[in-house]
Amino acid sequence: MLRLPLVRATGLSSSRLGAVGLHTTGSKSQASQELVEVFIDDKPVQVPPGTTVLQAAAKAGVEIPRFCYHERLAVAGNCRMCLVEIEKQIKPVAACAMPVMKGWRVKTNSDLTRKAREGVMEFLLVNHPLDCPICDQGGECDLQDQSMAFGNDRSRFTDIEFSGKRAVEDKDIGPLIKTVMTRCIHCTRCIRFASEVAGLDDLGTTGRGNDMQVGTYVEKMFLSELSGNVIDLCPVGALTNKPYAFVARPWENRRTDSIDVLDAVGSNIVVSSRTGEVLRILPRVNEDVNEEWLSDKSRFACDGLKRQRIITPMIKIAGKLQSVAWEDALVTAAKALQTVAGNEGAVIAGKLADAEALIALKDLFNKLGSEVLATEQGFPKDGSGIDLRSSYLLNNTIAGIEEADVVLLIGTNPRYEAPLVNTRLRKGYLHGEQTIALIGPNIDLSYEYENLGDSIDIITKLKNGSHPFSATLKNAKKPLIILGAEQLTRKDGAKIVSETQALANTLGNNVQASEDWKVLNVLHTNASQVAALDLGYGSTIEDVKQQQPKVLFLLGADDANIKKEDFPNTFIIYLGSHGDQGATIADVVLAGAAYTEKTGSYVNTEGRAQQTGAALTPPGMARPDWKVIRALSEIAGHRLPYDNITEVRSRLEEVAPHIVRYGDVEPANFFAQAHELAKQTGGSFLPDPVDIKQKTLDQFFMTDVISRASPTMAKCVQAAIKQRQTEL
Amino acid sequence: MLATLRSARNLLTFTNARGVQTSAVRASDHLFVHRDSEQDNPNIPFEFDEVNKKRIDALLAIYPEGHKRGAMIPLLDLAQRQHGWLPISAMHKVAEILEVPRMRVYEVATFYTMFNRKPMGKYHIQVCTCTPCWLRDSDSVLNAVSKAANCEVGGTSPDSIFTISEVECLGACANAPMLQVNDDYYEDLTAETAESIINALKKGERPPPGPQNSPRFAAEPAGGLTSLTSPPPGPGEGVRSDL
Amino acid sequence: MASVSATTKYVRPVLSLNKNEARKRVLALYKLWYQEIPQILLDTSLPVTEKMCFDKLREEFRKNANETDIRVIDFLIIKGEQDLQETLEKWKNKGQLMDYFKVTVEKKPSDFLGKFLSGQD
Repeated sequence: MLRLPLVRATGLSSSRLGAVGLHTTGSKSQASQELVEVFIDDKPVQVPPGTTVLQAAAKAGVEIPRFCYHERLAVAGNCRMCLVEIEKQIKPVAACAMPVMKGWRVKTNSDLTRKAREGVMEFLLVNHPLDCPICDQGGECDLQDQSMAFGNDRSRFTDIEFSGKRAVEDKDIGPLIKTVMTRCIHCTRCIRFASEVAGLDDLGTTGRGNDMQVGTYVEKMFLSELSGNVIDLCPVGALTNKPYAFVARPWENRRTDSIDVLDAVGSNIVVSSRTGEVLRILPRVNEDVNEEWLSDKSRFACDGLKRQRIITPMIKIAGKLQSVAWEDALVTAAKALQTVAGNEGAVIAGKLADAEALIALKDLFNKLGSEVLATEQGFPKDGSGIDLRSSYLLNNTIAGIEEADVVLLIGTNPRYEAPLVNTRLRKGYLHGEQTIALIGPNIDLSYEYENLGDSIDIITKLKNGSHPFSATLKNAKKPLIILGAEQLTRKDGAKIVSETQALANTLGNNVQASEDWKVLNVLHTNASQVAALDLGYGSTIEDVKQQQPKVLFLLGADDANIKKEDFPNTFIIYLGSHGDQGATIADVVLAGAAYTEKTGSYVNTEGRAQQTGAALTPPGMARPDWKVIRALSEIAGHRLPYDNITEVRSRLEEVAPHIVRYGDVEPANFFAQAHELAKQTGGSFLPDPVDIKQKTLDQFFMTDVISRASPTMAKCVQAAIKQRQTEL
Repeated sequence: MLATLRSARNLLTFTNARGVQTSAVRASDHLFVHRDSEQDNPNIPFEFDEVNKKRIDALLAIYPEGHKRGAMIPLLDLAQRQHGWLPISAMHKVAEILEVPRMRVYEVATFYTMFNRKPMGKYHIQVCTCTPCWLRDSDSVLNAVSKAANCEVGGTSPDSIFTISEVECLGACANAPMLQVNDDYYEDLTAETAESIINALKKGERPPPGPQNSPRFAAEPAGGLTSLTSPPPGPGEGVRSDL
Repeated sequence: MASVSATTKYVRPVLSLNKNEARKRVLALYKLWYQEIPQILLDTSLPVTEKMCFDKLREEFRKNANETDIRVIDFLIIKGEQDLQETLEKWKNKGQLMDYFKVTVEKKPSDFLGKFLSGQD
């Protein structure tokens, strides 16, 4: 019942706010429909029928002020700020909710329209506190801006009785969002976001009339992996960023366009920094990747960039890591490297490594003669291994997920592994009648799905048609398989890949969908993974363990779950930004830069190359990772032939040209060949049930060095655990 | 002398030049957030009784599949009738039956004033003090009721028998003043009749609802019919005979 | 175009009327410095040898070897004379004299490793 569009249209009962229906930004085939001509301020514009006045005006380049309307949420029509005059109509009309009719003449700047706006603005301001100087939204507040642009220039508000304005008590909705509910103008954007996008119906309006308030009614925290987005959505200062409270004004921050690396989605972000620290992170619109949302980890883990940092190189002297100068650290590391011949050296690349560092490290170790280059999350070598990109990419692209009609998730929890992939699935589920099934443990995905069980041989059953769900899959017009990268680290990972490829191939042959519809998709969790595989990091940690190398280079590998006991006679060099698992077992620690401090290339799970921007300089003596490797190579006597970032990137271009074509997805092909090669994969499934690391919200917040070092994330974990315990 | 004083006062006091009035913000006396209390917290179990369960089945059958949430108000009403008021666990129960998020039930329950989210007395006495009743002296009715029930307006009596609330128009203006006890309307009241109703309720009786001490039936004119006194004309009345 | 005729700009000379004269003045100044260096070293006890000073003198003159504008050369001569006077009269102190040798100035690294270690980019 959750999916009926009209019922789902708003989180509110539709009688109260007059839900008008949904409009999605997804691609619609409206080309065949006839266009309607309307006039916005006497400017003719052709729009498809059903377009609202506000959208038509936007097409004509006229911006109509609004508070409650948001492109990605259902229309509520309750703020009335978008009132416009339409010729031959007596009353002004709410532009956001009114579909255009042929030949309408909309006047967005007439006396009536202006008066209506001023009136609405006056009413909004009557119950809005005049606390802009102490409000965190100041400077980026829609109410401020629009009262400047469209409001009256003087106030008629006289509080003769000193009775005060409406006041509402603040809510405690968790460690991320600060609430000042008196400022709320009841636009209900947060409620609609929570119910439609986040899939968490915890917010709503209680009471009525002057007493209406937005909140949770019961004492409850609003905890979701996407909760931070309501801060951006809130047009006033009712919901603001708690860790950022009273920290800075937007105009004094330096904004740097960058990429988020805390998951493999590669969300586009803006890093707001001032006085050498990252103050907050905001999402940047990219329709193909994150739309305009951002997961809470990516948004709030930025305070982890200031803590647990490695700011000087260190050497282990008498069992203790001690700060030393770069020369000493590099010489010590180089001496160790000089003893290496052939495969006696090995590399494990961590989840935050950029492509520049990866290529530099690969070049260095190849020069030493080593080919043992592993990623934290290994990819099985059998079949085509990493030779064909189609085996390890989210081939159908993130935006393409929306269009699928049947989705099979294998051993993945997209809600926490890639929250912005999950929003696509939820969107497909709500608006596109997607059927979703999961092979794995019971988890809350924020939408209904069919759990096929947690045994891995269901894949084979689905392929053979002996499973009840295989009929659904076979009949699907646009089937999609999303395989969690975590499952590939199992002992039978190769078999999982080959069977999944076989299943995808069978489905792909059935489907009459267009040529570029790709059934097989792998969802990664590590930002560095795809770039590393593209560059040829083909080994797994097991290989490294077997090899027992003389020198092991950890490139920010903190989640590899390796212990010193695994490598008793190995000299371990760690290069990274935070003191975590990797640094503790290292003999030499080299101080690297975090993703906000370097210009680095990353390839997200769909194969889209993007680059981070350096918002700050690395702290202390830390240096960008590839430079450390380059310096080390010179001292070790294997000088790498690049001195600046441009030269490194031309080297990247030689190896994998797509990594420097920023913004583009390099699609993979050779699915059939990969499948053919995979057929040779032997082995069989292990009886172990499919398990997923991140099952509940508290497991979502701390997954890498930055989020583990973040106090805000620690608070979130606490809050999530507390919330779960009170609910039980 | 007085006139000069008055003009002097006018000079001294501040007057709003534009003549704009603002009224005091009147917040409702109800709280629109939930506070756990001894009588009302999510840990107190709530279950519909067997009779109501049958009613719920019948109610849900009215609504088509996918629109079960339409039964929210009837279900909340059932819960309130069963329990006397609407505790949070009852809202949770309704949410569970309708398979909607709890917040959606809270929204409805807080929106409608007839859902009482606080413990109520056995008899909920709603005294209308809207203009027509007020003109017919509802104030004295209210005072009499409050005194007889030993309960202040807006509160519950110590023995938890009465809850008195002052309400807006209940739509019985022709029989003003009036009050409502649970589902019954008592109309054409005076302070005495109101008191006697309360006293009867105290004894556990149910005084006959409708106009009190008044010969008329329901809202018909008190002094008999003043118009339409003759029988209605039959067919063909006033029509030419040749037709 | 015909109306435009070639013009020669006549400028007032500073000291020298022609190149030859300027050259003579430069050589004279050089000689003067050369002769005075032992005395300067005696007076100031700079931590440098005579040889170093002669080399530095040559280096400082060589710096402007490519100068062809007579007026500029003249100005450089005047500056050089002023410097010499200031040195001889001890208006310049030890530190100012040592400034010619720039012993405390570190060269910016130009190679990768140098830049890396010094943290300069």
